[in-house]
Amino acid sequence: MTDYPISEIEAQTLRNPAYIEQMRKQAKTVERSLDVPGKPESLWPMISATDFLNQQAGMKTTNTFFLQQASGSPWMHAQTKNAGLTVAYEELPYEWLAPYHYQVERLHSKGPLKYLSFGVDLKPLNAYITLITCRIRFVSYLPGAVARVLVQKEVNKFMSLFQALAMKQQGGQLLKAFYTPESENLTQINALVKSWEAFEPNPEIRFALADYILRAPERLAYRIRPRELAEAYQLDSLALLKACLRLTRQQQFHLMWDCRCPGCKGPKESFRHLSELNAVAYCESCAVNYGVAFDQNLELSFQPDHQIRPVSENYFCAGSPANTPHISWQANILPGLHLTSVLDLEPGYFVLRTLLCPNEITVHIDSSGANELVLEIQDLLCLNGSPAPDSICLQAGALLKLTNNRSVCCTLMLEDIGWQSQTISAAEVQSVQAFHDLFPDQVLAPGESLPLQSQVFLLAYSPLESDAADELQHLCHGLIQAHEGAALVLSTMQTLGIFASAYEALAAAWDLRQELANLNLMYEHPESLVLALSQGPCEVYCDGERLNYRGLAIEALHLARQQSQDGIIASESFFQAPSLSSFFELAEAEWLRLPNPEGEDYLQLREQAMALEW
Amino acid sequence: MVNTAAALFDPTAFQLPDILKTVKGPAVQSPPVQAEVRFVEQQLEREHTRPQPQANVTRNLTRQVQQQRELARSDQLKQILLQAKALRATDPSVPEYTQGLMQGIASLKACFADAAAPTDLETMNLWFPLLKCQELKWEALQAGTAVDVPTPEAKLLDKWRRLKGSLSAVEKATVYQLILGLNALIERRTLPHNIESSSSDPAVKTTPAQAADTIQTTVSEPFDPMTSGRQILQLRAKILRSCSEQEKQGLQTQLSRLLQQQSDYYALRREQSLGLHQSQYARLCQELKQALSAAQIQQMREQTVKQLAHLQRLFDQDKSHPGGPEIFVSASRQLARLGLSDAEQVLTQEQIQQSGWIQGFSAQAQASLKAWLASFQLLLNALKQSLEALNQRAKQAQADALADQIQAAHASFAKQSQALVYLEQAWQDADDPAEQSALRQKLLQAYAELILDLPTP
Repeated sequence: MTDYPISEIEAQTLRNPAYIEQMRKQAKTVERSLDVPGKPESLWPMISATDFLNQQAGMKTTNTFFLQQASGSPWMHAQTKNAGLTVAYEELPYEWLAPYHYQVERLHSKGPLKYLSFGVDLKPLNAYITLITCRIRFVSYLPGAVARVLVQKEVNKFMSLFQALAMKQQGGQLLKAFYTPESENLTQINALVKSWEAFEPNPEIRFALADYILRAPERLAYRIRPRELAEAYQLDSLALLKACLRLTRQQQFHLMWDCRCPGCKGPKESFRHLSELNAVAYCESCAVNYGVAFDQNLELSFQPDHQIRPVSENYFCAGSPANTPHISWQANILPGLHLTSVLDLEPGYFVLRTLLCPNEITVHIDSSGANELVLEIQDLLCLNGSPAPDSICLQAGALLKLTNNRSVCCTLMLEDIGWQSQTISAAEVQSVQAFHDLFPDQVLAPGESLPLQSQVFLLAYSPLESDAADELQHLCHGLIQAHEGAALVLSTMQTLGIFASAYEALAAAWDLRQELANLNLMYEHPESLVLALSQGPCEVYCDGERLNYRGLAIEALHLARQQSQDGIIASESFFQAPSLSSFFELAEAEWLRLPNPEGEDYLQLREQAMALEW
Repeated sequence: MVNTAAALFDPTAFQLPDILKTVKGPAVQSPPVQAEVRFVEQQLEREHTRPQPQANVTRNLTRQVQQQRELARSDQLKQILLQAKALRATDPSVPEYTQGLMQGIASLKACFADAAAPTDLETMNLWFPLLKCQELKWEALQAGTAVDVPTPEAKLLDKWRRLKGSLSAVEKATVYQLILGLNALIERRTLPHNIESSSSDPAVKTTPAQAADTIQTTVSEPFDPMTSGRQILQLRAKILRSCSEQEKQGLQTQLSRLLQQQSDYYALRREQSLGLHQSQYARLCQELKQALSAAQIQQMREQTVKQLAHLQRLFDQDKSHPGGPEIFVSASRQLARLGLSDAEQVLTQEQIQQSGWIQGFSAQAQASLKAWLASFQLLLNALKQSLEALNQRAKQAQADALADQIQAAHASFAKQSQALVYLEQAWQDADDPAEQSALRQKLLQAYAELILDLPTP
């Protein structure tokens, strides 16, 4: 961890609530408004991406430092250059209500300003036009008139940028909004597309990758996330992932395993090889240790080789709302102060939390909810002097009234539970055969293991060791791959299929049954094949030179295998999923159920199995 | 999988049976290498040219190449199999039928031609004579002479089933099915009045527009329900994992098209099967007009029940009409009750139910089902009449037998009566008491035998 550039006392002085209040009172305001086409929802991803906005506005990169606090959010100090001068400041966390408003406050320790608050409001005028207001409030060491001219210039610069972004109308896509013009890189893009012909047959995928690497802002190009890219270019994310894997094998890209913090979702630790990974990582912006789960927050991304584009992960604004899109609302409350906020949110489920308090509240936004919530921040989040309930229902536009009874500044946030991350998890990658084929040495360190919340498995098992066993195994291998799974040969009689989706696992099982019926014409005695499907928690570990799985889902597989001599047997969760019901309506195969792992039947089976085998 | 050098195989040195020695067969070209296979092969080639190739990566990619090749060839073979299956609905006397058969053999040969030949000696030693057998059939078809399945083929096919060579199980199974299928088609060619088997798959086309035509001899783009089933599963999985609305829409369109094709395919198969069965019922009705034995009629009923089960399975594909399969279950019930005392009552009841189920179908399907039902009723009536005639004949035969029996008994009684008269006369005429006693015993014995021979009431 790098040393904090200013002393804690100096930082404390700048962050003193009385000082902040004083700055707020003294601050002069410069603002400008502009009508732009588009709705706040579609403009928000671009207008709130202050990191890229700053870069486009010609600002320099910032170095950020964090100072861990005994409780609450760590302090952040940033250093940058402006017109050749060093500028340094303590930054309070950004405050926002997506997609209508954001602002940030900075208490300067170096530079021509003492205080700066930068804010943007997006107000829908009608269904097609949004009024954007950019506001800078400042306290300067410079003479008032000079400072005002300089700040006005900054505001104008941002307004021009907002206008240009709105005119691009990228449909809310952050990725392409900040690209450099195509004409600047066209020759290079075409050359790259051509040179990759042998590695990727689909020209659209080649173009998407080349276009992105050469035109995206450096911080984005530094980390290629196949799912994000697939969405921006309307491509199949799996095909794009496979292309990235092949290009990595040709040294065009490098693998990058990112451990994402469950709080801020940022990739806080990254490694080139799985064996470098630890089960626990640290996030300095949230000041927490967090566990790494194979299917939850361990992501595979790709970094272009420096010969294609030298990239580094430079930030122009580390606390930008666009860096934490899963947070819909965030606010700071100075000690002893009150805050009233209108929760103008879409219906859905959110989690209200702060690093200061151990409890959190699930907020359900629904028309039947209350129109006001009054909370106090004490040791816990409290309602009427008692710990707040775990769950509260509020209507859209409800008032949230907060009082900070703690002695430190409190940052509160509402996380959208429904927000979908565009990550490709390590568990998903394990279900791609190309990954196993091309990177067989990418395994965890010996003795290391990581949990998986849920993994889908298909076990194909020939109960009788026959001459046809190797043929059946070959068939299983082929069909598991045909349904986008990866096959792991356990023995001559058993093949394990690893799948990213339960649907694909069932489809593979179904297909195997169909093909087996054809193959049985060839055999004097029909071959039987048990197909056991399970889905559930387990653990991935290094088994010799390859990854293997153990735990509940694997245990269920083996139990299922013992329950059947032929046919398809699946754990209860498969029968519960509505998207899979079409399979169970097919009359041609018998679908057997493995009892629920929490039920008594399952325990009985487990005891029987243990008596028999273990 | 065995992977010995097939280059060691010398066709000129191979000891072929005399019948196959001079066979040439069709001239074919090896199939073009599919883009997917070529791509994986290139990937493997690149791996070999690395300064330090990784053994496990090379091994994995080699397996991928093999799998891709197998997949490509399995698909080709399945297409040929489908083309062959489509011929089953064609009149064997038309030239297109023979051309279709020849094309099937040529395509099979092309599948394994030149570079695509099996890569091990064990497989080549079987495939080579097996191919020669097919070429012999091809030459006979071309010459227009009688086509016989060469004698060695059965033994070769049996060995083929047990072969452990470089071909995948799916490839072997498809070749096996294809050769048997071609043989069945060749046999059908010599039996012009062949009745379609219950498992027959009529030729189908993929679009409703084409469906309006009559059944064609060959299918330009055969629709494989199994392949399309797999594609449907893959597309649904893709939709589930897709994160782009636009991509989802595109996939949904593809899925809808495929589902529509599948729906059309089964609708057309239902239509065609109903049509085929109608013509078969008409033929059966004709046959029933001749005096048939009970065993022949029973065989007909069993065959019809099998066909009804086939129709039932076919209508089970259409989940939108749950009453579909019931129509044929009901028809089976009617067949089963035929000839029994409550037949009329059951038949009427089932027919009412069938009419109700038919109402749920589209107008076109209703018309086909009604036409089929009418022809089925004609068959039932013909069967009923035949059974009645058979019953009548049996009753007559029984009556005749009884009459014969009575006549024989009467003759025997007359003979015995005459004997009694003679015995009685002799007994009365006898003077010697010993002789009289012996005759008395004989007379009593004759009376007792007469009483025993009298018919019981």
